[in-house]
Amino acid sequence: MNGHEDAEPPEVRCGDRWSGAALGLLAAYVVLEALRLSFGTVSEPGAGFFPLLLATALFGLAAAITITARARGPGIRFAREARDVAALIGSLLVVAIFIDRLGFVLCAAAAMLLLLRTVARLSWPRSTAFAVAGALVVFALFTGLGVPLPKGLLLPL
Amino acid sequence: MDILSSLALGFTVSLSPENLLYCFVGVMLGLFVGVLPGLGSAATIALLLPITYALGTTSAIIMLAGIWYGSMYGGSITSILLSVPGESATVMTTIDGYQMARRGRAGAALGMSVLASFVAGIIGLVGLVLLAPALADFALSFGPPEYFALTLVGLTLVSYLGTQSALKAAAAAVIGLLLGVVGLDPVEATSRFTYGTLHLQSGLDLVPVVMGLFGLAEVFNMIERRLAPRPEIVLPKGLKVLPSRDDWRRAAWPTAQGTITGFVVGLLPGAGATVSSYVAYALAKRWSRHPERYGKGEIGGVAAPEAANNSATGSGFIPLLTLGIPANVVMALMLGAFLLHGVTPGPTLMLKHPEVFWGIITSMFVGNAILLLIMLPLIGPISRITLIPDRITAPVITLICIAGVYGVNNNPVDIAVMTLFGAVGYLMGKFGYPAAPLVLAFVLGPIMETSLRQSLIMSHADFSIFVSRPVSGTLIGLALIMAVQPLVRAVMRAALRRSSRAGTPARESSDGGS
Repeated sequence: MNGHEDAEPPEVRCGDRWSGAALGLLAAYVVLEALRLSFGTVSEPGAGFFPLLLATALFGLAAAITITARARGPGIRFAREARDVAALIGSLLVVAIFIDRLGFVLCAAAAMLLLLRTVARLSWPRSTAFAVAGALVVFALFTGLGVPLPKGLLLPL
Repeated sequence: MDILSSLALGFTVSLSPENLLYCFVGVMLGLFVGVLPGLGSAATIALLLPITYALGTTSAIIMLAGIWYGSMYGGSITSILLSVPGESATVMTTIDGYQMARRGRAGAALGMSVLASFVAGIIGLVGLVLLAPALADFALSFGPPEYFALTLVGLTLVSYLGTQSALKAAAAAVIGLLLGVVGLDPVEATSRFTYGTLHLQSGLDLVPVVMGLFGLAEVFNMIERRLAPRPEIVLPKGLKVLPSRDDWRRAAWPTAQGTITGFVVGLLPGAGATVSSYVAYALAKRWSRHPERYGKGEIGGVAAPEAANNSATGSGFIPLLTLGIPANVVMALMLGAFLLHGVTPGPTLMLKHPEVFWGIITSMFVGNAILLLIMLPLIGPISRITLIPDRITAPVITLICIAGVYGVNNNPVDIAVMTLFGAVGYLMGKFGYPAAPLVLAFVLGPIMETSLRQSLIMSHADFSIFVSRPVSGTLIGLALIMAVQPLVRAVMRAALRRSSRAGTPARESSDGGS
């Protein structure tokens, strides 16, 4: 519940080497960025003061996490389904690019179709029906509640 | 205005047909997401933030607050029937609640969880009514050092309590603070970490960050768990939810103790309903005459955490409404909702907007009563919400996330930001980093930085300003003790491990030699 690192599973404790290193790199990057800002003085701190302070703290924490990591063990494993996670991340980024041009219903239905086909493993007709119906219902709900969503190609009116 | 006339004003606001409707909608949504494992109250509140644009401030907060305490009631249902907590705050309820259900006492466990929740919820609100005005008066004298100390204690507590690794929680909090730095510097208005983009000038929005970390990350976890089908729950016919006299006798003290524990722990910035339920369960077991019964279906083990998490929902509002400091992630979202409506919570809220302040508080009395009236007769049908499979909830959450996050600013960049934070939240979960400290720190970051810099300017770089004032000095001392303890413990443990590893072969060789 509080600082008991041993309460964590062994694979997570092994993964600490990688996450600690990543945090160290992030801290180093923030230091570089913060040095471009004015530090000011301690009596009149500038824009770079707080980020530099935080980066120092993060560096210390990263070092502590890396030092206390398990040296040997199974390490973090990603299930085969992690590929589906990556596919959904990709499809959401595609939605972000096209939503203004193609509209909410088309983009959201396409993302949902991917999820229903690859993850829920529904048939094409059922996936398509659920995806389109779901996107239309959410569109109607949000626009009905006063949250404007882009109409795009399918709902020009 | 005395408390009675303030309450009268509050009830006039909260019992208006419009606010009554939003209160009902809020508690029903909360109940629904509480019963449904996966989508928590924080993610739901984040999803609904854009919708509250169209509502008035009081109605919006009444609805969002209803989601929070409604989810506490609902979360216990899956904990008891499936041993799957619907909310993190109902994890402890699974221990004895599920054992009771396995022994055919699901009805008594469910009934006691509702009744203990109601009693504690109401007492917690009475505490809120009595304490909030006094604390708001006291907080008027707070300056930048006190605000800095409060934010520091909040972040230290959230890192120290309720997490498996304090180091990782602290790292998550520092990352949250760094994310809060993005945008214009609050003192000099210099651009920081904006990379020349206009979108980042005003900083990262709270909604995409929270929806990514809590909503989308949960969808990714569901996918990785292969959208596992939920086990069928079997409710006995003619479910008797009213506990027996013996149940009441055994649950009375744990309920009272859980109520007090929940109220006190809920007050602390960074603690909240989850931590309070852990503490209440541990205390109920320790103070029981029969601690051996805990874990085997003791009704006090259901009453104590349920009382604590509901009492904490009331007291959790106190730091936000009186100091403007959110005590937990849900309160951070409430702060976001207040700010969206142009109202800043804090010591002056009660003076400038008494109808908002008292309307929100009294609505929680109304909401708790609605929940009691709905849940006691309908607990059986409500329990069947748990049968909705992940393969339906995952696409629905994704759809609502896209619509909700786009609706905030009508900006597709927010969808990309949400997706990025969804991936970050998924990886954080994999590597054992909690997301709650990150979000709380993200919200507290600007308050912390501004108060730190103002304090240093005020004192001409004299750091003793933080310890020479009684309130800030006490809080800083508390934060230091909590921050240093796990670090020392971790370093000592690593040193011990190394010495034992180094010592083992030496002993073997010496043994061999002898």
